[in-house]
Amino acid sequence: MNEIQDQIKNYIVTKFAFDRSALNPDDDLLNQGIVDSMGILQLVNYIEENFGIHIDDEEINPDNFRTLKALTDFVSQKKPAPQAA
Amino acid sequence: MAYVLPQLLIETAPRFPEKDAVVFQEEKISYAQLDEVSNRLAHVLKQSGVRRGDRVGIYLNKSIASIVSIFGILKADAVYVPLDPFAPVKRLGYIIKNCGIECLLSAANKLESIAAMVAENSPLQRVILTDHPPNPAAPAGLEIMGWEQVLQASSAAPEIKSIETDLAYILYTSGSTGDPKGVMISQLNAFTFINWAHDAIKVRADDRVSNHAPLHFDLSIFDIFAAVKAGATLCPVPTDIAKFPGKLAEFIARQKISIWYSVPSAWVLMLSHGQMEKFDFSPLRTIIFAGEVFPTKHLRRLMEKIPHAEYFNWYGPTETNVITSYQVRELPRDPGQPIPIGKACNNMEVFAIDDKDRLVTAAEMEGELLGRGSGVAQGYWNDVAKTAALFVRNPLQPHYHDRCYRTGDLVKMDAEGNYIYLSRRDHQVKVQGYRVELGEIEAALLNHEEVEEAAVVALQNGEQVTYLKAFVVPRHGRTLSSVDLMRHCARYVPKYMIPEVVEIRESLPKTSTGKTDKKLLAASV
Repeated sequence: MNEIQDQIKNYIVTKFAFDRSALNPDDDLLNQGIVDSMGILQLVNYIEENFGIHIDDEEINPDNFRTLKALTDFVSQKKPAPQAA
Repeated sequence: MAYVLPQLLIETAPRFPEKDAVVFQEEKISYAQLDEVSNRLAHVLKQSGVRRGDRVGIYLNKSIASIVSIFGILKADAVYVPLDPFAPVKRLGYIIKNCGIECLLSAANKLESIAAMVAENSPLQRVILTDHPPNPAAPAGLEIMGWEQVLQASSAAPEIKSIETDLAYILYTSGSTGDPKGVMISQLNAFTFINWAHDAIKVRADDRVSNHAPLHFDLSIFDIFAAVKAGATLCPVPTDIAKFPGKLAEFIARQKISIWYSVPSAWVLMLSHGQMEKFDFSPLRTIIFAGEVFPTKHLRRLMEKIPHAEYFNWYGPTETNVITSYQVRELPRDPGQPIPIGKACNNMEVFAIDDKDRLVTAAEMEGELLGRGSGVAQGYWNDVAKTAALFVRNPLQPHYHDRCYRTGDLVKMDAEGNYIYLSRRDHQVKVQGYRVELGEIEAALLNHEEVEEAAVVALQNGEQVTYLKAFVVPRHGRTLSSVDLMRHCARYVPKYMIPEVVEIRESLPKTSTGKTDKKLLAASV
């Protein structure tokens, strides 16, 4: 779970949150202009490619994208956990 | 008959007092209420020292409060200056200083940003909060007023002294030398556009007009003032919803929007991810787009999905607002053929002059488009030189000073007399419909200590979407990362101006005259 969060966080910080020193899991990505409308789709593309999952159009909504934590939870429940060796 | 903008509200309110003037999320305000609370705000502004012609800033997210602010400021005979709620504080601090804003309408969650804006010698003295925070912390040197003071003020109609040649608002646009420039719009400028647009679209009291564009973008002038003129209901699109194509499509359907005006990219997103088939768009009778080229293949798909609506392509820089219009009935077979920008709106005129100073009258000629008429703005705030360069005397009118605006857009004419946009003369581009001067981004990059040279070009991806690419040469011996440079840009320019890609180079190619060869850079893969 932490690895998923770290990867998403790293993508967002690199691509969008240029002027912030830290991105907290509960920071609102939508109301503070961190991610704009182009950014949402770029994020969708990144998640699909990086985690190998498919995001349905109706899953592209504020509930799943509002915070880093929301994104992490969303990706985790789409991505099956690896089996223990 | 109304000749200054607040009179549109004053005339409409008694006709439709109980009608919803603005609806936003779960809230709404009637015309009577909007008229009354804007009266109160006007009194508070005047009592706090705002004088006729003073610039008052609006620094708010989409909300009913921002519409109240506009009318309150106008009723106080002052000039409203909308500040992009998501622009970097440096840029907003510059704007506040540039046009001398002493008073700002804002909200508690923006106080921290405001404090950062006034750090360096700002004229700002007072912030009026439109929400009701319990104990707002006043940034050093600023007076904070709560909305309770507004609600306690007199609701009597203030006396309006403004005349039609007074300024109504100032809209700041990207500036090629690094600082944004304030386009001064008079009441008469605004009415020239609004009267035409209201009639051309036949806005009626039973219309529900969206407001997708931010207040600092002149598309909002149609939304707000054509709606109020007609007694229609204004439906600002919440910022969250605007970012999600599915939510946006749902908003249009649920709110039964009948007139929608936006940049084409809003539709391009909805077409690809908005699941438009799920929603009923039958109330949507008019779709207007402006700001950038609508790629024909996407417009075709939209017209297939919403065939009953009327489609209009509107064109015009901020300095004239919309000046030409083209109703799209049939699309050109060839997807490469652009949709015309059309012909001049009523009570406005355009003409094009080629590089031999001849008037463009036939299909083979190309020239720069000029606009004339009472829609031409008053110039750039406090910039006599730039104003003189672009707001010129009509070269075809020898007898009197007839002010025209040089758009910098190269156009040609088709066989029916419609103008067709070709390209820019300079380095201004459109990104997501927003005007961007490449020079402003280059200036921001050059502000970085370790940057020696910088060049920014606009490219198109496979979907015909424009994006920005920067080429940077670091100072000798220094290393720079593209992430650092993007972060650096974010402190100076809004998001849509931050280059998508930054390439570090050892040197930039030059033309024979020693200028950076941007064509070569743009062509390099």
